[in-house]
Amino acid sequence: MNGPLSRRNFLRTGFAACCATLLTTRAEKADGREFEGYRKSKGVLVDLTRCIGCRSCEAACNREQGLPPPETDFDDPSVFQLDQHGQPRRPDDRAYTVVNRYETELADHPIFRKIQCNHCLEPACLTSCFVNAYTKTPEGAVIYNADVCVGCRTCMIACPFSIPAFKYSSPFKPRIMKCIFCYDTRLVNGQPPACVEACPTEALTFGERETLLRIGRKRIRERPGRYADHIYGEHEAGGTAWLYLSGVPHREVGFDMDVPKQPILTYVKDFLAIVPMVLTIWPALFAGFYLLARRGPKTIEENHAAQEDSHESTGQ
Amino acid sequence: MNNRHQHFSRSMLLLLGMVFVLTTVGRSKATDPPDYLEIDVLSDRYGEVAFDHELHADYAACSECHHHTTGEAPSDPVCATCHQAGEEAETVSCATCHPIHPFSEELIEQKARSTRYHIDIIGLQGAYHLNCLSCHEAIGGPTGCLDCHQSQP
Repeated sequence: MNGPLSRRNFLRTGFAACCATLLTTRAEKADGREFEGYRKSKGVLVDLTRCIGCRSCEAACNREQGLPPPETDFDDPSVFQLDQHGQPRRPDDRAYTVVNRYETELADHPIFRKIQCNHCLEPACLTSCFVNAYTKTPEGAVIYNADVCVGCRTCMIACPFSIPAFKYSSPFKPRIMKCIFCYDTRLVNGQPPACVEACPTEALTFGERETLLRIGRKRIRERPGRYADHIYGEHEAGGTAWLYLSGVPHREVGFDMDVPKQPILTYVKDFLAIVPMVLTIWPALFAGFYLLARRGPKTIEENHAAQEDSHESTGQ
Repeated sequence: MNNRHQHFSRSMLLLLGMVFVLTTVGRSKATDPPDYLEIDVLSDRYGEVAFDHELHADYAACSECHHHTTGEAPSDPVCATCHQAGEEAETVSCATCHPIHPFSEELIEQKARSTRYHIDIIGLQGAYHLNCLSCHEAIGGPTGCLDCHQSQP
């Protein structure tokens, strides 16, 4: 009756284990939510009102990152045409950054927008990667390690800005291609990325993210007629290192305004916290039920036999 | 004869004096501009620009490009909230205020700690392009790269 796996012992231990797991996961969750990005991390403020669509940034990126030569020259404006699906260009494995042109009724001239990785403070690609191929560096860059990548492409689905691109030409040596903020060649040495240095109109301003927010707010405050009252990236996806000022509402020039204000991680944290609990406790719990159910009749028979034995021995 | 000689030398003196006065006055004024400039500070990145200063002075007030440094009232109302007319700067050279390397570590550190108003001074390259292009677009001046830059070797 008081063997190693009695019903009472099993339930008691199981309940204690449940409580312990719940308590520890709660504590971890509270710690994780307090991360507000690295102090003094760098970023870039993109001012769309200054961009003239010259694509010098694209050319500089191509050169700096040793990417393959483009299909058409960097001074060919035909790339601004929408593709057959009516979509503007996206960064891919041949270009970490692209500039697109937008026509809007709210401006009497075309508006250009540069796209690349926004280097989130809490990147969804990083949290979705189960082999930890991504790193958010204290300097602000989100970098990627091809050596551990298994090519699952979960990061491509997780990214709220659809930035990571897969190099489909190398299926056996998986490789995600995305902007790395010129981390290894420039950012670690305190230099701005190649695109920023190449921009002739300083539409790209490099600096500490906190300073860039101050500069952005200053520009909006001083020239309210020139700017839409919003810095895209201040809160989007929990905050990004790249920030955007626009002369027309951001939605007009292709910014996704439905990107949540919290880090993408927030939406899966609660679920992910249960996973270890389910994986550790459920097998033990149900294996216990199963064993109890299987052992039941046998144990009763054995008990009867044992009782008979004891009766006999006491009778003698 | 003597009288004529005296008259001649007096008028020569007067003439010399006037020339001297005019040249010194001209020199002491910061508004005495060069007629022609070679903008080659960034020639490692761009072909140098032959800038006809005299031609541009016909199209724009000094303050359109030099802001408040020539002593004119700045044409930008945002600048005019602090800078008044008559405050002439020591130098009117663009590179004095607009840094050639605006994103150097020192400047970024300085901006981060700065409590001053000017944390957003644009670099030299950006200042030229934005100031020149906006005006050229507005009054129909040339806007192509090679209209100003010599082609790079």
